[in-house]
Amino acid sequence: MTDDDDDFTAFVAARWRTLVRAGLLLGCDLAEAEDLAQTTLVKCYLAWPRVAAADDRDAYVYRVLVNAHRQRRRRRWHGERPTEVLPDVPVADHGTAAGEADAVARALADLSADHREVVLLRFYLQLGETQIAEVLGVRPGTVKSRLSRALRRLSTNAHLTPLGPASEGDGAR
Amino acid sequence: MNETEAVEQVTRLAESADPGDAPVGRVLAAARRARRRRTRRVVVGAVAATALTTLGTVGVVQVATDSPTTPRPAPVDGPVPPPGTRYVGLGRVVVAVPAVWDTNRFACGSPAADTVYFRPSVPEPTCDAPDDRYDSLRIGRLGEPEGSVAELAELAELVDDGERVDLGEGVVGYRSRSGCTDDGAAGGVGERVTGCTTTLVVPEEDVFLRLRTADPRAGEVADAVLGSARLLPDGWTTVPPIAWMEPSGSVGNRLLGAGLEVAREGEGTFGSGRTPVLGSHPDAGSVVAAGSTVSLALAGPEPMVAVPASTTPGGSVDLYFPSEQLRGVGFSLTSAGRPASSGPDFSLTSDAGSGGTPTWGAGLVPDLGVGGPGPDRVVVPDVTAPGDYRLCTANAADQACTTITVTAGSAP
Repeated sequence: MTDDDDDFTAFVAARWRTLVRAGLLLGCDLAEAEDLAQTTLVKCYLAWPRVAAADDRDAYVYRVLVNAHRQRRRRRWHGERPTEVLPDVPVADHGTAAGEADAVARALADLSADHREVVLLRFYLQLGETQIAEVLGVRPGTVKSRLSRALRRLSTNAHLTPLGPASEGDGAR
Repeated sequence: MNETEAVEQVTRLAESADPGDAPVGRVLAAARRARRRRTRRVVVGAVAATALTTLGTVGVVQVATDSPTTPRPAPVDGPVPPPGTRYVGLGRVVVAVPAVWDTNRFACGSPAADTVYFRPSVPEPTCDAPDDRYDSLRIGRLGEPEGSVAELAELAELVDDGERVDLGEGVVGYRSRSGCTDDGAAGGVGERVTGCTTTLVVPEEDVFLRLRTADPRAGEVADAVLGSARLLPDGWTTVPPIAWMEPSGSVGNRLLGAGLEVAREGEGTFGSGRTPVLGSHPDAGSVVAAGSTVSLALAGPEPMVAVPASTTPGGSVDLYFPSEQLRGVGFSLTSAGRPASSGPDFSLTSDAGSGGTPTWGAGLVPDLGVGGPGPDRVVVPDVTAPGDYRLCTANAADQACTTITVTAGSAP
């Protein structure tokens, strides 16, 4: 195994969970999210010496992930049909926490793809606005406006309303 | 919901899923397979190209088994571009762009004219919103430190699934498959798409070229420019990239390293090697014979530098400001022998205040403030008599001047 391979496998081990979870937040199911994470890492491996030398390696990898996800959406768009009612998703009942997670997932699903991307990059991967602009290839002002709109939509989303301040006193987490 | 609450909720959702340990072996095996596939494509391409060269065959070359390929360019006897175009590039990779395109013409972090550029002279916008009317070709090294995350990511994606372009001699490039995509500025309903971008990556030569255009026929523009990509024959090269205000020592070493000779023009001296470089002749990216001499315009003792310092009536001059110099868009041109009390011979308006086209004697000068290193382009009136002139800022708290020479003749 070469030094590059050692470095790459260490990176895979360290970032796998984050990348899969990022895929889930983008709207994939678990199998799709794992596939997306693998596709992202394979693309990075092809240019690994440069990826490894990049000043902001994580931002680079997230950019590849977002693009790979967009490509998947474009390829499968013809297979999707809009529906007025979301199908029921069976979720194991682990108490209030699972209920909250489900509510957040439904609220995210109501966002546009652009808004979901900025929510992922800012609130989960915790990139700065400038980094997000780099990752998405848009101007920082566009990031700011998308974040603002996404937050507003989340605030008024019916799935999340019960999780507002009134519910915080019940000890749920 | 505020930001803190959003971070909590989203993180909680993400961590409610447990993907398990990383399948390191599976990912590494998939990555190695992908690399072997890519290598096989390159080798097949090189073998096919060699065979066809031997047979003297001309035509569309389908060298790969699993990806589309563009026609191989005809061999070049010398770097003679198609009519109305000029070759620009990096190293030995060149493309033909319209001859009227400028080089490194930037303002506020975006092109101020149709231009070829190597890196923005101003990394971040410093004034009004960037202008997206112009076509531009960015040329760079794949691993250059100022390359953005987006550019680095695009390398990996293009090498993996871009359209193959055979440049000859077994060198393969990868081009954006669609030929034209939006640049990501469109965020939703009501937000406009500001241009189309097509990229060609040549990993073996460590070069990428990114064409951006707002032309409605963007695909045709991309085909015309990037479709002309080829390698220079032996004995020819390109002037390496030169960043505005880069120290003369590092620029000189880069030129010498590329097998070129170095001279200077203007009032500045190389000094200790830290004198800022304002421009070069020929411009960065131009095709030159190996061993040619490249002249560097160096910042001099005056706060404003004209490049070129000598021009003909009707010619244009780029003005640079090595140190921060706030100024307006008006300039004065005064014969060197004329008493100051007589006023200037001509009033000039730079391109920053006249819709991208410099003018003179236009009456009212727009009241606009300009900062940054320039260049501000002015035009020498076509009725100017030959001689030496003082060219000065007309509306600045601290006046800046330089001397230019107007010679007989007419602008090309």
